[in-house]
Amino acid sequence: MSTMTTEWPSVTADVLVVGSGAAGMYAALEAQRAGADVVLLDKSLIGRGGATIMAQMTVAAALGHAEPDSPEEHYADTLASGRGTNDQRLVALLCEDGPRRILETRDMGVDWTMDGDRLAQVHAPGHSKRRCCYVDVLATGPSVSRGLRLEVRKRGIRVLTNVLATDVVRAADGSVAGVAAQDVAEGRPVALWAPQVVLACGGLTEMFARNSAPVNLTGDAYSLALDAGADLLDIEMVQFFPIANLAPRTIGLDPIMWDPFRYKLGGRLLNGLREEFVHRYDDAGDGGRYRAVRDVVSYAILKEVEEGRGSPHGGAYLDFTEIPFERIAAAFPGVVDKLLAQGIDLSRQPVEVAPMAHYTIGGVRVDDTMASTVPGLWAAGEAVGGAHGANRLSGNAITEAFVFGARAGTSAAHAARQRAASDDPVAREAMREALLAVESRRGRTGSGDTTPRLRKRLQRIMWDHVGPFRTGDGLQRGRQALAELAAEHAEAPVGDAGPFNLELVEWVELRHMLRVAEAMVHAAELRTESRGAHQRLDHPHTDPSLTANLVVRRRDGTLEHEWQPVVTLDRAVTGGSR
Amino acid sequence: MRLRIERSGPEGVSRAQVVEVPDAEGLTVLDALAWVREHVDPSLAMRFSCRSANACKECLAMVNGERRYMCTTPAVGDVTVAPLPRNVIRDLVTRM
Repeated sequence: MSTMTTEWPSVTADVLVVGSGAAGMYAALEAQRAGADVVLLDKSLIGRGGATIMAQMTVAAALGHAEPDSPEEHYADTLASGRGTNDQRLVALLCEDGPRRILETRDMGVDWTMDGDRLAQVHAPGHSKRRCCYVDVLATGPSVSRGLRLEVRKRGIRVLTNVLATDVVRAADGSVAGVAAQDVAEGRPVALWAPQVVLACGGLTEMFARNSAPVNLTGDAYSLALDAGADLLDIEMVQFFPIANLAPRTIGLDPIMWDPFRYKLGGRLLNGLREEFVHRYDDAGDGGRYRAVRDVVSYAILKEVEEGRGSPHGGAYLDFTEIPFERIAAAFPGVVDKLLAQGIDLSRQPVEVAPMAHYTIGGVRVDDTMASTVPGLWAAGEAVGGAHGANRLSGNAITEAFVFGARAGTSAAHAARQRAASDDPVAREAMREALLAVESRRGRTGSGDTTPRLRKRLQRIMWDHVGPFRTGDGLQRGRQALAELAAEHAEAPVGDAGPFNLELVEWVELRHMLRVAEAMVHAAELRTESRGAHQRLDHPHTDPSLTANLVVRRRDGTLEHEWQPVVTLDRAVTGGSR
Repeated sequence: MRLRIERSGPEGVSRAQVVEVPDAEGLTVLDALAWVREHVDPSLAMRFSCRSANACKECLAMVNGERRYMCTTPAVGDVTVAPLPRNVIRDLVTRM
């Protein structure tokens, strides 16, 4: 084959950051600040393709601007929500470092909504204080992305757009040597050489039929880590956002925007019989106050649907009809106009909502420097596992992106100083093989399902068998269906040579998703209990003996696992305004 | 609805593809293109990321002769979609 002898382009850096949401951009900024030569890449556009831009909601940090608060209290709330399995060192870092990062992003140009000379901070479920910052109106994610994007540009960081990471390449000693990638816009492979690689391409919600995140979140970080021999932690834990929009269809609006509506307006969550029901599953209840945390609400809605008390489309009603139109319009100007233009008047009709895959609680196992178990491989943001235990508090995801991104960038830059890139023949051969494995797919013909169809089938399998409610039998069926899908994926037609081949992108993404799906089913089978986001109908109770983290790794093509005791903190949480 | 897609290569060569897409409540131009990729021709290239929230701003194209975000433009009746005028990479994708 002629491509085997082709000299493919290559890029060299000290630190390579894969993924350019808030975590990736922060990692790149801090790595550069620490003196490293950095390259930041994204399979989409810089600062647009990750999950950050969709984060319309709030960002939690104990600034103490709305009322006295401290990282220690933020820490306590995060642990209380996590069902016993949070990595306490990661939580401490998140809570201690969050406030200064928020202020830092304000200096970069993020338009945090202000209350006088202080940041406005509101209450969100599970937080004991008014701690959650935001950008009006429903603009937090876009504003955060924009601020960081401008800073990345201002600081002259090298960026690669539309470059898709396919494999982490390692040297003879097992340490990272670089990343094999496809330059999608140019339609050719590219070898990215760097001794330090930060995986900031977390998120896997696109694996599920009902999801609330961008299409790019195909588990890339977990797949790349797993394939490189790194440990994943609690990968069975997927957060299902309880009240994503189900019906009527809305255009140009985020499916999870009902959350801020509830912060500001309350509203009532009702079943198909128009009864309140959350109190049946949780002492906190609902009652228009929006107190119950996410896993409880998701569980309550799906249980009502299962028992025949769902709304017409299979969810629950979210009802703001007791609130005068003027108050709704004043709280969400612009958004309410968009809804009215689509024939939706919230003061007259309820909408339907349902749980959708929203966030990856599990992830790459790291220490508090963000080092994975593979030398030279780091993780940041949603790619990291452990900080949220079994249930993430709202508001902690962007904080995590800032804090863990910054930490990963600094750590990787320091490590790059210790260990220069080596010209390793093992790595060169691994790179060549990895690039060729993808490049040789081009132009493959066949009568099987095309990549968009295979993706839909995977999403359906995951939703049906590995979704919000799981059983041992269902997981077994999921495993079989995934194996059949993997066999078809290996033979799938991929389309011609040339630039912007979406089929080739989807083929690689499917490879990532199938790897992660296998690990997730494995972990979900092993966790024979219900805890937070992981609900096993055949094991409905939390098993105290499983208050531990489930580690999964691949060795010689087979998944192995071990239970790890939860990482505890041996010091006090510090900082804060009190 | 009837979707006419002006597809281009880097040389600027354009060919039009006309597809009948089933009507659906709230169907957008981006939804219609996704339907085409799934049911007719998966090789069709376009930019999209956040899908329908109009947050990522990647899906800009010419819809019925005007610059529009495909994710917020309803797909009703006859719709023609073409790439932005300059720097076409493939089909509806331009260099950004």
